[in-house]
Amino acid sequence: MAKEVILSAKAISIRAKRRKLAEKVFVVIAFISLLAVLFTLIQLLSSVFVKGLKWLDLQFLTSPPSRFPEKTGIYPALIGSTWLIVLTIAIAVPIGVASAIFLEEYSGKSRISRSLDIIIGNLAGIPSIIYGIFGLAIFVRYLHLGRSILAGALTLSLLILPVIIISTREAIRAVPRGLREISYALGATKWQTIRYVVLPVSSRWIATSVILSIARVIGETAPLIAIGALSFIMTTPRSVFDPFTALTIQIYTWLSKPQQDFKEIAAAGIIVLLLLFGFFMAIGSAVRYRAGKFKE
Amino acid sequence: MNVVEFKKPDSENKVVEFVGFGVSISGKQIFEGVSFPVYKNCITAIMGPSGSGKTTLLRSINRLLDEFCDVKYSGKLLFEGRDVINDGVDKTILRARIGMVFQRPNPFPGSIFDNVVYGLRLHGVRDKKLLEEVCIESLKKVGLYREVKNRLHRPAYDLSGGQQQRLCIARSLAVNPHVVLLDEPTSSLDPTSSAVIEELLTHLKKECTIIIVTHNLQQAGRISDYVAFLYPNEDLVSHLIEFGQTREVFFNPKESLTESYIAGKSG
Repeated sequence: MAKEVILSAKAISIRAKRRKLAEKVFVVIAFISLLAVLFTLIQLLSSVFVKGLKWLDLQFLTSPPSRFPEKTGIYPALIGSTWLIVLTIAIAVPIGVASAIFLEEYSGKSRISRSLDIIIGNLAGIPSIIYGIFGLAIFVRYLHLGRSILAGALTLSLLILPVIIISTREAIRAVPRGLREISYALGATKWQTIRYVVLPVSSRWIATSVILSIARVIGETAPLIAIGALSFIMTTPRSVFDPFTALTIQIYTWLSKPQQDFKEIAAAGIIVLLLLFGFFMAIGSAVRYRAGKFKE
Repeated sequence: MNVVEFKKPDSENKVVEFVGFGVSISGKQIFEGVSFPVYKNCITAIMGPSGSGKTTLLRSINRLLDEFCDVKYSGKLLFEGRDVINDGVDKTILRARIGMVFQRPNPFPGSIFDNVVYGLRLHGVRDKKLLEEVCIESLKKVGLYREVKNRLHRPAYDLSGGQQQRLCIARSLAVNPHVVLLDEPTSSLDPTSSAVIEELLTHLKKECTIIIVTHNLQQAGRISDYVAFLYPNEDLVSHLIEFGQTREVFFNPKESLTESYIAGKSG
Protein backbone atom coordinates (compact mmCIF):
# COMPACT_ATOMS: atom_id res chain seq x y z
CA MET A 1 0.00 0.00 0.00
CA ALA A 2 2.68 2.46 1.10
CA LYS A 3 4.74 1.56 -1.93
CA GLU A 4 1.88 2.40 -4.27
CA VAL A 5 1.48 5.82 -2.67
CA ILE A 6 5.20 6.57 -2.92
CA LEU A 7 5.30 5.50 -6.56
CA SER A 8 2.01 7.19 -7.58
CA ALA A 9 2.19 9.54 -10.55
CA LYS A 10 1.44 12.55 -8.39
CA ALA A 11 4.12 11.77 -5.80
CA ILE A 12 6.70 11.17 -8.51
CA SER A 13 5.95 14.45 -10.25
CA ILE A 14 6.20 16.38 -6.98
CA ARG A 15 9.58 14.83 -6.27
CA ALA A 16 10.69 15.41 -9.84
CA LYS A 17 10.21 19.15 -9.32
CA ARG A 18 12.29 18.97 -6.18
CA ARG A 19 15.05 17.07 -7.98
CA LYS A 20 15.15 19.62 -10.77
CA LEU A 21 15.34 22.41 -8.22
CA ALA A 22 18.32 20.70 -6.56
CA GLU A 23 20.09 20.66 -9.89
CA LYS A 24 19.44 24.37 -10.49
CA VAL A 25 20.76 25.25 -7.04
CA PHE A 26 23.91 23.25 -7.74
CA VAL A 27 24.51 24.93 -11.11
CA VAL A 28 24.14 28.38 -9.51
CA ILE A 29 26.62 27.51 -6.77
CA ALA A 30 29.09 26.13 -9.30
CA PHE A 31 28.78 29.24 -11.45
CA ILE A 32 29.35 31.55 -8.47
CA SER A 33 32.48 29.57 -7.55
CA LEU A 34 33.76 29.97 -11.08
CA LEU A 35 33.08 33.73 -10.98
CA ALA A 36 34.99 34.04 -7.71
CA VAL A 37 38.02 32.33 -9.25
CA LEU A 38 37.82 34.32 -12.47
CA PHE A 39 37.39 37.60 -10.61
CA THR A 40 40.49 37.02 -8.47
CA LEU A 41 42.52 35.97 -11.47
CA ILE A 42 41.48 38.97 -13.58
CA GLN A 43 42.13 41.29 -10.65
CA LEU A 44 45.62 39.87 -10.22
CA LEU A 45 46.51 39.87 -13.89
CA SER A 46 45.15 43.34 -14.54
CA SER A 47 47.06 44.88 -11.65
CA VAL A 48 50.24 43.15 -12.86
CA PHE A 49 49.76 44.28 -16.44
CA VAL A 50 48.75 47.85 -15.55
CA LYS A 51 51.85 48.31 -13.43
CA GLY A 52 54.36 46.29 -15.39
CA LEU A 53 53.54 46.68 -19.05
CA LYS A 54 55.18 50.08 -19.44
CA TRP A 55 58.53 48.72 -18.20
CA LEU A 56 58.46 45.75 -20.49
CA ASP A 57 60.62 46.49 -23.54
CA LEU A 58 63.55 45.03 -25.39
CA GLN A 59 66.01 46.83 -23.14
CA PHE A 60 64.38 45.23 -20.09
CA LEU A 61 64.55 41.78 -21.62
CA THR A 62 68.17 42.03 -22.71
CA SER A 63 69.85 43.86 -19.82
CA PRO A 64 71.34 42.66 -16.58
CA PRO A 65 69.86 44.09 -13.36
CA SER A 66 70.96 47.53 -12.27
CA ARG A 67 70.54 49.96 -9.41
CA PHE A 68 68.82 52.37 -11.75
CA PRO A 69 65.21 51.50 -12.56
CA GLU A 70 65.46 52.72 -16.17
CA LYS A 71 68.57 50.61 -16.85
CA THR A 72 67.61 47.43 -15.07
CA GLY A 73 66.78 44.22 -16.88
CA ILE A 74 65.85 40.59 -16.47
CA TYR A 75 68.09 38.86 -19.00
CA PRO A 76 70.26 36.72 -16.64
CA ALA A 77 67.21 35.56 -14.68
CA LEU A 78 65.31 34.72 -17.85
CA ILE A 79 68.22 32.66 -19.16
CA GLY A 80 68.75 31.09 -15.72
CA SER A 81 65.12 30.00 -15.46
CA THR A 82 65.10 28.61 -18.98
CA TRP A 83 68.24 26.57 -18.27
CA LEU A 84 66.74 25.39 -15.05
CA ILE A 85 63.49 24.19 -16.63
CA VAL A 86 65.15 22.42 -19.55
CA LEU A 87 67.76 20.74 -17.39
CA THR A 88 65.36 19.75 -14.63
CA ILE A 89 62.94 18.16 -17.08
CA ALA A 90 65.82 16.43 -18.88
CA ILE A 91 66.98 14.93 -15.58
CA ALA A 92 63.69 14.21 -13.84
CA VAL A 93 61.51 12.84 -16.64
CA PRO A 94 63.71 9.90 -17.76
CA ILE A 95 64.53 8.95 -14.17
CA GLY A 96 60.95 9.35 -13.01
CA VAL A 97 59.41 7.41 -15.88
CA ALA A 98 62.00 4.63 -15.58
CA SER A 99 61.42 4.34 -11.82
CA ALA A 100 57.68 4.23 -12.33
CA ILE A 101 58.03 1.49 -14.93
CA PHE A 102 60.22 -0.52 -12.60
CA LEU A 103 57.89 -0.13 -9.63
CA GLU A 104 54.78 -0.85 -11.65
CA GLU A 105 55.97 -3.61 -13.95
CA TYR A 106 58.98 -5.34 -12.44
CA SER A 107 59.04 -5.00 -8.67
CA GLY A 108 55.96 -7.12 -8.03
CA LYS A 109 53.79 -6.69 -5.00
CA SER A 110 56.41 -7.29 -2.36
CA ARG A 111 56.44 -5.56 0.99
CA ILE A 112 59.39 -3.43 -0.12
CA SER A 113 57.54 -2.17 -3.16
CA ARG A 114 54.50 -1.28 -1.08
CA SER A 115 56.57 0.60 1.47
CA LEU A 116 58.27 2.44 -1.40
CA ASP A 117 54.79 3.52 -2.46
CA ILE A 118 54.19 5.16 0.89
CA ILE A 119 57.63 6.74 0.98
CA ILE A 120 57.25 8.28 -2.47
CA GLY A 121 53.78 9.52 -1.57
CA ASN A 122 55.23 11.22 1.50
CA LEU A 123 58.12 12.72 -0.45
CA ALA A 124 55.59 14.50 -2.66
CA GLY A 125 54.28 16.29 0.42
CA ILE A 126 57.56 17.53 1.89
CA PRO A 127 57.98 21.34 1.94
CA SER A 128 60.24 22.47 -0.89
CA ILE A 129 62.66 24.29 1.41
CA ILE A 130 63.66 20.89 2.84
CA TYR A 131 64.69 19.82 -0.64
CA GLY A 132 66.68 23.05 -0.87
CA ILE A 133 68.59 22.27 2.31
CA PHE A 134 69.21 18.73 1.12
CA GLY A 135 70.44 20.08 -2.24
CA LEU A 136 72.77 22.46 -0.42
CA ALA A 137 74.24 19.63 1.63
CA ILE A 138 74.54 17.04 -1.14
CA PHE A 139 74.92 18.80 -4.48
CA VAL A 140 76.47 22.15 -3.53
CA ARG A 141 78.77 21.02 -0.72
CA TYR A 142 79.35 17.28 -0.88
CA LEU A 143 79.50 16.92 -4.66
CA HIS A 144 81.20 20.33 -5.01
CA LEU A 145 78.85 21.50 -7.71
CA GLY A 146 78.76 24.93 -6.11
CA ARG A 147 75.87 27.29 -6.58
CA SER A 148 75.53 26.18 -10.15
CA ILE A 149 72.61 25.65 -12.50
CA LEU A 150 73.32 21.93 -12.30
CA ALA A 151 72.97 21.92 -8.52
CA GLY A 152 69.72 23.87 -8.86
CA ALA A 153 68.34 21.55 -11.54
CA LEU A 154 69.25 18.44 -9.53
CA THR A 155 67.53 19.88 -6.47
CA LEU A 156 64.40 20.74 -8.41
CA SER A 157 64.50 17.30 -10.04
CA LEU A 158 64.30 15.71 -6.62
CA LEU A 159 61.37 17.95 -5.89
CA ILE A 160 59.31 16.93 -8.91
CA LEU A 161 60.39 13.27 -9.11
CA PRO A 162 57.75 11.97 -6.66
CA VAL A 163 54.99 13.68 -8.62
CA ILE A 164 56.25 12.31 -11.93
CA ILE A 165 56.65 8.81 -10.52
CA ILE A 166 53.20 8.76 -8.96
CA SER A 167 51.39 10.10 -12.00
CA THR A 168 53.33 7.88 -14.41
CA ARG A 169 52.38 4.85 -12.33
CA GLU A 170 48.75 5.91 -12.48
CA ALA A 171 49.05 6.32 -16.24
CA ILE A 172 50.64 2.89 -16.65
CA ARG A 173 48.00 1.30 -14.47
CA ALA A 174 45.26 2.80 -16.64
CA VAL A 175 46.44 0.95 -19.76
CA PRO A 176 43.68 -1.55 -20.59
CA ARG A 177 44.62 -5.08 -19.56
CA GLY A 178 43.35 -6.45 -22.88
CA LEU A 179 46.13 -4.62 -24.75
CA ARG A 180 48.81 -6.14 -22.54
CA GLU A 181 47.25 -9.58 -22.88
CA ILE A 182 47.24 -9.55 -26.66
CA SER A 183 50.77 -8.20 -26.75
CA TYR A 184 52.02 -11.10 -24.64
CA ALA A 185 49.85 -13.53 -26.59
CA LEU A 186 51.54 -12.40 -29.80
CA GLY A 187 54.89 -13.31 -28.31
CA ALA A 188 56.09 -9.99 -26.93
CA THR A 189 58.54 -9.88 -24.05
CA LYS A 190 57.70 -7.69 -21.13
CA TRP A 191 59.98 -4.94 -22.35
CA GLN A 192 58.46 -5.05 -25.84
CA THR A 193 55.01 -4.78 -24.30
CA ILE A 194 56.11 -1.76 -22.28
CA ARG A 195 57.88 -0.16 -25.22
CA TYR A 196 55.24 -0.67 -27.91
CA VAL A 197 51.99 -0.75 -25.94
CA VAL A 198 52.19 0.59 -22.40
CA LEU A 199 54.28 3.73 -23.00
CA PRO A 200 52.54 4.89 -26.20
CA VAL A 201 49.11 4.43 -24.63
CA SER A 202 50.04 6.22 -21.41
CA SER A 203 52.28 8.91 -22.94
CA ARG A 204 49.49 11.44 -22.98
CA TRP A 205 49.00 11.24 -19.24
CA ILE A 206 52.72 11.28 -18.61
CA ALA A 207 52.96 14.45 -20.70
CA THR A 208 50.27 16.06 -18.55
CA SER A 209 52.25 15.36 -15.40
CA VAL A 210 55.36 16.81 -17.02
CA ILE A 211 53.49 20.02 -17.85
CA LEU A 212 52.36 20.32 -14.23
CA SER A 213 55.96 19.74 -13.14
CA ILE A 214 57.16 22.57 -15.39
CA ALA A 215 54.74 24.89 -13.61
CA ARG A 216 56.21 23.75 -10.32
CA VAL A 217 59.81 24.32 -11.47
CA ILE A 218 59.07 27.82 -12.76
CA GLY A 219 57.30 28.80 -9.58
CA GLU A 220 59.77 27.49 -6.99
CA THR A 221 61.87 30.02 -5.06
CA ALA A 222 62.58 28.58 -1.64
CA PRO A 223 64.87 25.66 -2.59
CA LEU A 224 66.83 27.91 -4.96
CA ILE A 225 67.43 30.45 -2.22
CA ALA A 226 68.45 27.61 0.08
CA ILE A 227 71.11 26.36 -2.33
CA GLY A 228 72.31 29.92 -2.74
CA ALA A 229 71.21 31.05 -6.18
CA LEU A 230 72.33 34.66 -6.44
CA SER A 231 69.89 37.50 -6.67
CA PHE A 232 72.25 40.00 -8.19
CA ILE A 233 74.15 38.66 -11.12
CA MET A 234 75.49 40.62 -14.03
CA THR A 235 76.70 37.83 -16.26
CA THR A 236 74.65 35.23 -18.00
CA PRO A 237 75.55 31.61 -17.31
CA ARG A 238 77.56 29.97 -20.09
CA SER A 239 77.51 26.40 -18.85
CA VAL A 240 75.61 24.32 -16.33
CA PHE A 241 78.41 24.84 -13.81
CA ASP A 242 77.98 28.61 -13.68
CA PRO A 243 76.13 30.46 -10.93
CA PHE A 244 72.68 31.64 -11.86
CA THR A 245 69.58 33.40 -10.78
CA ALA A 246 65.97 32.64 -11.54
CA LEU A 247 62.96 34.80 -12.38
CA THR A 248 61.23 34.21 -9.07
CA ILE A 249 64.32 35.25 -7.12
CA GLN A 250 64.78 38.34 -9.29
CA ILE A 251 61.14 39.34 -8.80
CA TYR A 252 61.44 38.83 -5.06
CA THR A 253 64.56 41.01 -4.94
CA TRP A 254 62.90 43.86 -6.80
CA LEU A 255 59.85 43.69 -4.57
CA SER A 256 62.01 44.07 -1.48
CA LYS A 257 63.56 47.29 -2.76
CA PRO A 258 62.19 50.56 -1.31
CA GLN A 259 61.71 52.49 -4.59
CA GLN A 260 58.22 52.48 -6.08
CA ASP A 261 59.67 52.04 -9.60
CA PHE A 262 61.09 48.63 -8.67
CA LYS A 263 57.67 47.42 -7.49
CA GLU A 264 56.43 48.12 -10.99
CA ILE A 265 59.50 46.49 -12.50
CA ALA A 266 58.69 43.40 -10.41
CA ALA A 267 55.29 43.39 -12.11
CA ALA A 268 57.08 43.45 -15.46
CA GLY A 269 59.13 40.49 -14.21
CA ILE A 270 55.93 38.62 -13.41
CA ILE A 271 54.72 39.23 -16.96
CA VAL A 272 57.97 37.73 -18.29
CA LEU A 273 57.51 34.76 -15.94
CA LEU A 274 53.99 34.25 -17.26
CA LEU A 275 55.20 34.46 -20.86
CA LEU A 276 57.96 31.92 -20.23
CA PHE A 277 55.46 29.65 -18.54
CA GLY A 278 53.09 30.06 -21.48
CA PHE A 279 55.90 29.22 -23.86
CA PHE A 280 56.77 25.96 -22.10
CA MET A 281 53.08 25.12 -21.67
CA ALA A 282 52.65 25.50 -25.41
CA ILE A 283 55.56 23.15 -26.09
CA GLY A 284 54.24 20.68 -23.52
CA SER A 285 50.74 20.77 -24.95
CA ALA A 286 52.07 20.26 -28.47
CA VAL A 287 54.00 17.20 -27.26
CA ARG A 288 50.92 15.91 -25.46
CA TYR A 289 48.77 16.46 -28.53
CA ARG A 290 51.23 14.57 -30.70
CA ALA A 291 51.47 11.78 -28.13
CA GLY A 292 47.71 11.36 -28.02
CA LYS A 293 47.26 11.72 -31.73
CA PHE A 294 47.06 8.84 -34.11
CA LYS A 295 50.38 8.34 -35.89
CA GLU A 296 50.45 7.72 -39.60
CA MET B 1 64.91 -46.52 -35.82
CA ASN B 2 64.56 -49.44 -38.15
CA VAL B 3 60.83 -49.77 -37.76
CA VAL B 4 59.15 -48.64 -40.93
CA GLU B 5 56.05 -46.69 -40.23
CA PHE B 6 53.34 -47.27 -42.79
CA LYS B 7 50.65 -45.34 -41.08
CA LYS B 8 50.91 -41.85 -39.71
CA PRO B 9 51.00 -42.27 -35.97
CA ASP B 10 47.97 -40.87 -34.29
CA SER B 11 50.04 -38.60 -32.10
CA GLU B 12 51.14 -36.59 -35.11
CA ASN B 13 47.61 -35.45 -35.59
CA LYS B 14 47.38 -34.28 -32.04
CA VAL B 15 48.54 -30.69 -32.01
CA VAL B 16 47.70 -30.14 -28.37
CA GLU B 17 47.08 -32.74 -25.74
CA PHE B 18 46.08 -32.37 -22.11
CA VAL B 19 47.20 -35.22 -19.90
CA GLY B 20 45.85 -35.18 -16.35
CA PHE B 21 46.12 -31.44 -16.60
CA GLY B 22 45.18 -29.12 -13.76
CA VAL B 23 45.58 -25.46 -12.89
CA SER B 24 45.41 -23.65 -9.59
CA ILE B 25 45.49 -19.88 -9.32
CA SER B 26 46.61 -18.25 -6.07
CA GLY B 27 46.12 -21.56 -4.32
CA LYS B 28 42.59 -22.16 -5.62
CA GLN B 29 42.21 -25.23 -7.81
CA ILE B 30 40.30 -24.24 -10.97
CA PHE B 31 40.22 -27.63 -12.68
CA GLU B 32 42.09 -30.88 -12.43
CA GLY B 33 42.59 -34.19 -14.17
CA VAL B 34 41.65 -32.86 -17.60
CA SER B 35 42.75 -35.15 -20.43
CA PHE B 36 41.78 -34.75 -24.05
CA PRO B 37 43.50 -34.25 -27.40
CA VAL B 38 43.10 -31.46 -29.92
CA TYR B 39 43.31 -32.73 -33.47
CA LYS B 40 44.98 -31.00 -36.35
CA ASN B 41 42.83 -28.91 -38.70
CA CYS B 42 39.78 -29.36 -36.54
CA ILE B 43 37.76 -26.93 -34.48
CA THR B 44 37.62 -28.04 -30.89
CA ALA B 45 35.09 -26.22 -28.71
CA ILE B 46 35.44 -25.98 -24.96
CA MET B 47 32.08 -25.49 -23.32
CA GLY B 48 30.74 -25.33 -19.82
CA PRO B 49 28.93 -22.97 -17.49
CA SER B 50 30.42 -19.69 -16.24
CA GLY B 51 33.22 -20.28 -13.81
CA SER B 52 34.01 -23.75 -15.10
CA GLY B 53 37.54 -22.73 -16.07
CA LYS B 54 37.15 -22.74 -19.86
CA THR B 55 39.02 -19.48 -20.29
CA THR B 56 41.66 -20.57 -17.81
CA LEU B 57 42.18 -23.78 -19.76
CA LEU B 58 42.51 -21.83 -22.99
CA ARG B 59 44.98 -19.36 -21.50
CA SER B 60 47.17 -22.08 -20.11
CA ILE B 61 47.90 -23.36 -23.62
CA ASN B 62 50.02 -20.32 -24.49
CA ARG B 63 51.00 -19.82 -20.84
CA LEU B 64 49.31 -16.43 -20.83
CA LEU B 65 48.17 -17.12 -17.27
CA ASP B 66 51.75 -16.87 -16.08
CA GLU B 67 51.92 -13.15 -16.88
CA PHE B 68 48.99 -12.07 -14.78
CA CYS B 69 48.49 -14.46 -11.89
CA ASP B 70 50.18 -16.77 -9.46
CA VAL B 71 49.56 -20.02 -11.27
CA LYS B 72 50.49 -23.63 -10.56
CA TYR B 73 50.14 -26.37 -13.15
CA SER B 74 49.84 -30.08 -12.63
CA GLY B 75 49.95 -32.89 -15.17
CA LYS B 76 51.12 -32.42 -18.72
CA LEU B 77 50.19 -30.10 -21.57
CA LEU B 78 51.71 -31.22 -24.84
CA PHE B 79 52.05 -28.82 -27.74
CA GLU B 80 53.27 -30.60 -30.86
CA GLY B 81 54.65 -33.37 -28.69
CA ARG B 82 56.51 -31.18 -26.24
CA ASP B 83 55.40 -30.63 -22.69
CA VAL B 84 55.15 -26.83 -22.49
CA ILE B 85 54.77 -26.91 -18.73
CA ASN B 86 57.74 -29.03 -17.68
CA ASP B 87 60.18 -28.94 -20.60
CA GLY B 88 61.35 -25.36 -20.15
CA VAL B 89 59.82 -24.00 -23.34
CA ASP B 90 60.51 -20.35 -24.19
CA LYS B 91 57.14 -18.66 -23.78
CA THR B 92 57.71 -15.98 -26.40
CA ILE B 93 58.59 -18.60 -29.01
CA LEU B 94 55.67 -20.79 -27.96
CA ARG B 95 53.32 -17.83 -28.33
CA ALA B 96 54.61 -17.10 -31.80
CA ARG B 97 53.12 -20.49 -32.78
CA ILE B 98 49.82 -19.92 -31.01
CA GLY B 99 47.49 -17.12 -32.06
CA MET B 100 44.88 -15.72 -29.74
CA VAL B 101 41.65 -13.76 -30.06
CA PHE B 102 39.77 -12.36 -27.09
CA GLN B 103 36.18 -11.77 -26.11
CA ARG B 104 36.22 -8.10 -26.94
CA PRO B 105 38.02 -6.84 -30.00
CA ASN B 106 41.21 -5.27 -28.66
CA PRO B 107 43.09 -3.54 -31.48
CA PHE B 108 46.08 -1.41 -30.53
CA PRO B 109 45.71 2.34 -30.88
CA GLY B 110 47.43 2.53 -34.25
CA SER B 111 46.71 1.94 -37.88
CA ILE B 112 45.14 -1.18 -39.33
CA PHE B 113 48.51 -1.99 -40.87
CA ASP B 114 50.38 -1.55 -37.59
CA ASN B 115 47.93 -3.85 -35.87
CA VAL B 116 48.26 -6.68 -38.34
CA VAL B 117 52.06 -6.62 -38.44
CA TYR B 118 52.57 -6.14 -34.69
CA GLY B 119 53.51 -9.78 -34.16
CA LEU B 120 55.93 -9.79 -37.08
CA ARG B 121 57.66 -6.67 -35.84
CA LEU B 122 57.97 -8.22 -32.38
CA HIS B 123 59.88 -11.07 -33.92
CA GLY B 124 62.23 -8.75 -35.71
CA VAL B 125 60.79 -8.48 -39.22
CA ARG B 126 61.67 -5.02 -40.55
CA ASP B 127 61.41 -5.56 -44.29
CA LYS B 128 58.65 -3.18 -45.38
CA LYS B 129 57.70 -5.12 -48.46
CA LEU B 130 57.35 -8.35 -46.56
CA LEU B 131 55.29 -6.67 -43.84
CA GLU B 132 52.98 -5.23 -46.47
CA GLU B 133 52.62 -8.59 -48.20
CA VAL B 134 51.76 -10.40 -44.99
CA CYS B 135 49.37 -7.65 -43.95
CA ILE B 136 47.40 -7.91 -47.19
CA GLU B 137 47.44 -11.70 -47.12
CA SER B 138 46.21 -11.83 -43.52
CA LEU B 139 43.46 -9.30 -44.16
CA LYS B 140 42.36 -11.31 -47.19
CA LYS B 141 42.15 -14.44 -45.07
CA VAL B 142 39.64 -12.80 -42.77
CA GLY B 143 37.76 -11.18 -45.63
CA LEU B 144 38.58 -7.69 -44.48
CA TYR B 145 40.91 -6.59 -47.26
CA ARG B 146 38.25 -5.40 -49.67
CA GLU B 147 36.65 -3.31 -46.93
CA VAL B 148 39.82 -1.62 -45.72
CA LYS B 149 42.27 -1.63 -48.63
CA ASN B 150 42.04 2.14 -49.06
CA ARG B 151 42.60 2.93 -45.42
CA LEU B 152 45.29 0.53 -44.23
CA HIS B 153 47.02 3.44 -42.58
CA ARG B 154 43.97 4.82 -40.88
CA PRO B 155 43.20 4.13 -37.18
CA ALA B 156 41.93 0.66 -36.38
CA TYR B 157 39.46 2.22 -33.94
CA ASP B 158 37.47 3.59 -36.88
CA LEU B 159 36.34 0.06 -37.78
CA SER B 160 33.07 -1.43 -36.54
CA GLY B 161 33.09 -4.02 -33.75
CA GLY B 162 32.79 -6.95 -36.13
CA GLN B 163 35.52 -5.59 -38.40
CA GLN B 164 37.77 -4.98 -35.39
CA GLN B 165 37.32 -8.57 -34.31
CA ARG B 166 38.24 -9.81 -37.78
CA LEU B 167 41.24 -7.47 -37.67
CA CYS B 168 42.24 -9.12 -34.39
CA ILE B 169 41.98 -12.53 -36.05
CA ALA B 170 44.11 -11.26 -38.94
CA ARG B 171 46.64 -9.96 -36.42
CA SER B 172 46.95 -13.38 -34.82
CA LEU B 173 47.18 -15.09 -38.23
CA ALA B 174 49.99 -12.85 -39.45
CA VAL B 175 52.66 -14.84 -37.65
CA ASN B 176 51.47 -18.13 -39.19
CA PRO B 177 50.33 -19.79 -36.00
CA HIS B 178 49.79 -23.53 -35.85
CA VAL B 179 46.95 -23.11 -33.39
CA VAL B 180 44.52 -20.24 -32.87
CA LEU B 181 42.84 -19.85 -29.50
CA LEU B 182 39.55 -17.98 -29.46
CA ASP B 183 37.97 -16.90 -26.21
CA GLU B 184 34.26 -16.34 -26.93
CA PRO B 185 35.16 -14.31 -30.00
CA THR B 186 31.58 -13.43 -30.94
CA SER B 187 30.07 -12.73 -27.53
CA SER B 188 30.29 -8.95 -27.94
CA LEU B 189 29.14 -8.91 -31.55
CA ASP B 190 25.80 -8.66 -33.30
CA PRO B 191 24.38 -11.81 -34.99
CA THR B 192 25.45 -10.78 -38.50
CA SER B 193 29.05 -10.13 -37.53
CA SER B 194 29.04 -13.35 -35.50
CA ALA B 195 27.87 -15.32 -38.52
CA VAL B 196 30.67 -13.81 -40.63
CA ILE B 197 33.23 -14.88 -38.05
CA GLU B 198 31.80 -18.40 -37.69
CA GLU B 199 31.94 -18.82 -41.45
CA LEU B 200 35.50 -17.55 -41.42
CA LEU B 201 36.56 -20.05 -38.77
CA THR B 202 35.25 -23.01 -40.75
CA HIS B 203 37.51 -21.90 -43.62
CA LEU B 204 40.49 -21.17 -41.39
CA LYS B 205 40.67 -24.68 -40.02
CA LYS B 206 42.12 -25.82 -43.33
CA GLU B 207 45.36 -24.08 -42.44
CA CYS B 208 45.46 -24.18 -38.70
CA THR B 209 43.95 -25.84 -35.68
CA ILE B 210 41.31 -23.92 -33.80
CA ILE B 211 40.34 -24.09 -30.16
CA ILE B 212 37.34 -22.01 -29.22
CA VAL B 213 35.73 -21.30 -25.88
CA THR B 214 32.05 -20.59 -26.19
CA HIS B 215 29.01 -20.02 -24.05
CA ASN B 216 26.85 -20.43 -27.06
CA LEU B 217 25.81 -24.06 -27.48
CA GLN B 218 24.36 -23.49 -30.94
CA GLN B 219 27.64 -21.99 -32.01
CA ALA B 220 29.58 -24.96 -30.65
CA GLY B 221 27.16 -27.28 -32.44
CA ARG B 222 27.39 -25.41 -35.74
CA ILE B 223 31.11 -24.99 -36.16
CA SER B 224 33.03 -27.44 -34.00
CA ASP B 225 34.26 -30.91 -34.87
CA TYR B 226 35.03 -31.91 -31.30
CA VAL B 227 33.74 -30.64 -27.98
CA ALA B 228 35.13 -30.80 -24.49
CA PHE B 229 32.62 -30.23 -21.72
CA LEU B 230 33.83 -28.93 -18.37
CA TYR B 231 31.68 -28.82 -15.30
CA PRO B 232 32.47 -27.84 -11.70
CA ASN B 233 31.80 -30.22 -8.84
CA GLU B 234 30.42 -29.17 -5.44
CA ASP B 235 33.86 -27.83 -4.42
CA LEU B 236 33.84 -25.64 -7.54
CA VAL B 237 36.73 -27.60 -9.03
CA SER B 238 36.01 -28.43 -12.66
CA HIS B 239 36.55 -31.73 -14.37
CA LEU B 240 36.24 -32.85 -17.92
CA ILE B 241 32.83 -34.46 -18.10
CA GLU B 242 32.85 -35.50 -21.70
CA PHE B 243 34.97 -35.19 -24.80
CA GLY B 244 34.13 -36.43 -28.25
CA GLN B 245 32.97 -35.63 -31.73
CA THR B 246 30.48 -32.82 -31.61
CA ARG B 247 27.69 -34.81 -33.23
CA GLU B 248 28.18 -37.65 -30.76
CA VAL B 249 28.26 -35.42 -27.70
CA PHE B 250 25.26 -33.38 -28.80
CA PHE B 251 23.00 -36.15 -29.99
CA ASN B 252 24.23 -39.11 -28.05
CA PRO B 253 25.85 -37.89 -24.82
CA LYS B 254 27.30 -40.56 -22.59
CA GLU B 255 26.92 -38.56 -19.42
CA SER B 256 23.63 -37.40 -17.96
CA LEU B 257 25.27 -34.11 -16.93
CA THR B 258 26.11 -33.39 -20.55
CA GLU B 259 22.64 -34.26 -21.63
CA SER B 260 20.98 -31.94 -19.14
CA TYR B 261 23.43 -29.12 -19.91
CA ILE B 262 22.77 -29.35 -23.61
CA ALA B 263 19.03 -29.52 -22.95
CA GLY B 264 19.40 -26.34 -20.92
CA LYS B 265 18.47 -27.91 -17.62
CA SER B 266 21.65 -27.13 -15.74
CA GLY B 267 24.49 -24.65 -15.80
